[in-house]
Amino acid sequence: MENENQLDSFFKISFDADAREHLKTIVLWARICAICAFISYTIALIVAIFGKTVSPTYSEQSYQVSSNLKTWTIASALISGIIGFAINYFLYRFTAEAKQGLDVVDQVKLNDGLINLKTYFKIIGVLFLIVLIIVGLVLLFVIIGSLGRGTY
Amino acid sequence: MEPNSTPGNLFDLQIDAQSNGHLFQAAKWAKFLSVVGFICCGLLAVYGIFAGILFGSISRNYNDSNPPFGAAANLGGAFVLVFAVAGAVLYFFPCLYLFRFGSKMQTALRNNDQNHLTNSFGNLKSFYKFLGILTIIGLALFFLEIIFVMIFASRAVY
Repeated sequence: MENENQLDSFFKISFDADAREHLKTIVLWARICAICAFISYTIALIVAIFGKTVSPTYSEQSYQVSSNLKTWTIASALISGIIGFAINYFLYRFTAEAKQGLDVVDQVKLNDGLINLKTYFKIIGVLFLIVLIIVGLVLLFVIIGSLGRGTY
Repeated sequence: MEPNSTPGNLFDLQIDAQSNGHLFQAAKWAKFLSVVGFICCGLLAVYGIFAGILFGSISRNYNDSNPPFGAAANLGGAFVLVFAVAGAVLYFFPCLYLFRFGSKMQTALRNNDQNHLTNSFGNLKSFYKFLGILTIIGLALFFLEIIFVMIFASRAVY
């Protein structure tokens, strides 16, 4: 039944003229999004590395605090940059391969592009799931902690 | 029932078994992301409204004893309310486009429906267009911020 349906669909739906036009625009805007993301992650990393953390006083303690702050800023910019680059790399690959597939009517290239689109959504989805789980756990611990404090 | 479809050219790009699978998976994840996005939009709007109400009541309490603090709280409340609600509204539209892409794509692939397939790609197009324009605006503001910071920093030094 499943196979029959798949074979059936092979001849029934296709990337018609309208769908191809939409795909071309998708490719254009998705590429702009990916390139803008690459640029912004790079700038954020440069600003984090070369930017100065201004401290109002020149004491030993404030120097220590600003140096810790700088380390945290660089680490967070690096981590978000790596994750962002990985996600947008798949979006960029989707645009490049789908564009090639559409230009030379190459089904294999288009399918490769769609694999990248699927991976792009999958990675963002999994990251969202991880964030939701972490937020849920933090909320749970906060509630348990406040209940524990309330009883004693 | 005959599926709503327009048979394409055999030599055209087709939705074969492979692309069907990839598009179905992409649609499933896109739908999940959009639902999470809708929840975040709602939470952001609720947060903005509650923060506005809270700041408003703080402002009312301090209006007589400390008028400047009351005015600052009022302004802060209005600021948080406007930004949170505006953010929620702005975030709602890409989620809507993504949801429509996901649901229409799933329907199209299940029922071999060409119209739904085209509509679903139209929604993905709107999603990326919206996101692209927003990204360009964000990047432009980012560059402006850097330029302003550099100008102010150079003035502070000299």
